[in-house]
Amino acid sequence: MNKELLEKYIIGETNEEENIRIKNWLEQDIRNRSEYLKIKDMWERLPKPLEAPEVDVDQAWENFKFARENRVAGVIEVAENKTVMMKWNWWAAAGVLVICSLGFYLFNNSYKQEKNLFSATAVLSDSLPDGSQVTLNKNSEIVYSRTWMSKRRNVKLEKGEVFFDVVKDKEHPFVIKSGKSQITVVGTSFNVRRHEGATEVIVATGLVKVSYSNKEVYLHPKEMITIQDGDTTKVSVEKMPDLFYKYYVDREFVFENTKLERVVELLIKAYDQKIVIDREADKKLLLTATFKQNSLNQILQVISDTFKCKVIIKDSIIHITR
Amino acid sequence: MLENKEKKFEQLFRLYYKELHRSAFRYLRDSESAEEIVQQVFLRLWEKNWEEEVHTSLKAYLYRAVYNESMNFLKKEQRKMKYQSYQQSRQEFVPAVDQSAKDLDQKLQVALAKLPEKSRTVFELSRFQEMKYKDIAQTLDLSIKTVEGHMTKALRHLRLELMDYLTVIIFYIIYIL
Repeated sequence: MNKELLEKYIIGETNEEENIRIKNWLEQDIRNRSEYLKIKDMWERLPKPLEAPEVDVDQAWENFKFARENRVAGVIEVAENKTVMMKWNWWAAAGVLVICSLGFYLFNNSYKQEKNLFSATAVLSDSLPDGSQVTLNKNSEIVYSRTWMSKRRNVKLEKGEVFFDVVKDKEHPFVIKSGKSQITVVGTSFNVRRHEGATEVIVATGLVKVSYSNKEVYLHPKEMITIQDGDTTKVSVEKMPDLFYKYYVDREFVFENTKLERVVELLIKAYDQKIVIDREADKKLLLTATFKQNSLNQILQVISDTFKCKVIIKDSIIHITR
Repeated sequence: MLENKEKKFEQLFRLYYKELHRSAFRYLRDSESAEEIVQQVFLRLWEKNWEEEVHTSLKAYLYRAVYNESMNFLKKEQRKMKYQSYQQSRQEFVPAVDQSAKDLDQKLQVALAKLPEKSRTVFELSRFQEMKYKDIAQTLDLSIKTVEGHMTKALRHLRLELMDYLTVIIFYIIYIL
């Protein structure tokens, strides 16, 4: 008799036919019986199934019903949590949106959007993102985009007069739009003025390309071009005899045999002050003098000393008189 | 209709609760945990639309559910007891019996640990849950023949591992008697 069958018998998994066979075998020999007992003993000596403590089924049923109720409530709670979550999500989404908008706004402001630079009653000097220097005369305004990492450095002259000292960068041309003309440079200094519907460009150093209605003109230092917005056929290129156009940039006047008439004209423009030469003959007087960062009073003092004339103020108008 | 369902369910609950609790207790060796497990199983059954969905023997379904829930519970416990081996933790629950029984229990655990998992599980279900091969087969989703094969393998293994030890004990007992 094999041990496996005996074990199966002990466990109680044998069928009727097997049971009969084993019973017969057991009765055949006392040694069979002893072998069987040995196996049975082992089985019985193995740790027994644990006896579970008594449980109160009534109590368990009550507990179950309680748990079931709470579970239903729990489902509702979960649902509520979900709506809270939803709200949270909306808040989170709103927050992200706000942050993104803010970020975009800031990004835009600092890099993308156009930036305005304007002067009111005083001359303003500033540098552009590429390092180029701009000097805005009184009542002037330029707009430039901050996306200067791209191919072009674009600036628009809205009004007034600006002197540009452009940093050299061959790969990124510097482009100024003024009215209907476009000024393209690589690295030069020049003055651009919008005045009564016209654009006036005067070159200080380097070469400047001016484009207007499919035409291109190259300007050299001391050359000036004036382009009328209304009529682009009337374009004139002139030689600039002096550097007075730059007075607001350098705060420097270099007069060399300059008629007093012209001097006063420049001073009126520079200092926004009404100045009148009372005697017609004095207008033709020639002045040679250099003024650097001087006040109007100092300049007038020099004029009066030089020509032995009087400077008086009457009704807030300066009179150069005798 | 609803009332009828409730009544029917309560009957089921009362009919099976005790034996399911015992079953869970034997897996977990803790009465309260066993109560929780069984309650969990019944809650699942309640939500399951059990009258229609549980086509197979309801009893077999319940035992199987208790088995699965208990194993999950033990796995979680095992994770909790990071620094204690599972076997050691089980030892702590063993009610104090005489020393030889405790030794034998340890021997048995060692011997069982050497068995393939399925054989060990089958043996444990048979021995400690007093389950019939048929029920083991349903619980583990095996055929009865496979269960029998596992059981035979387990018993042969235990016989080889424990017989010498058991014989010694028997002689020892006879001797002192």
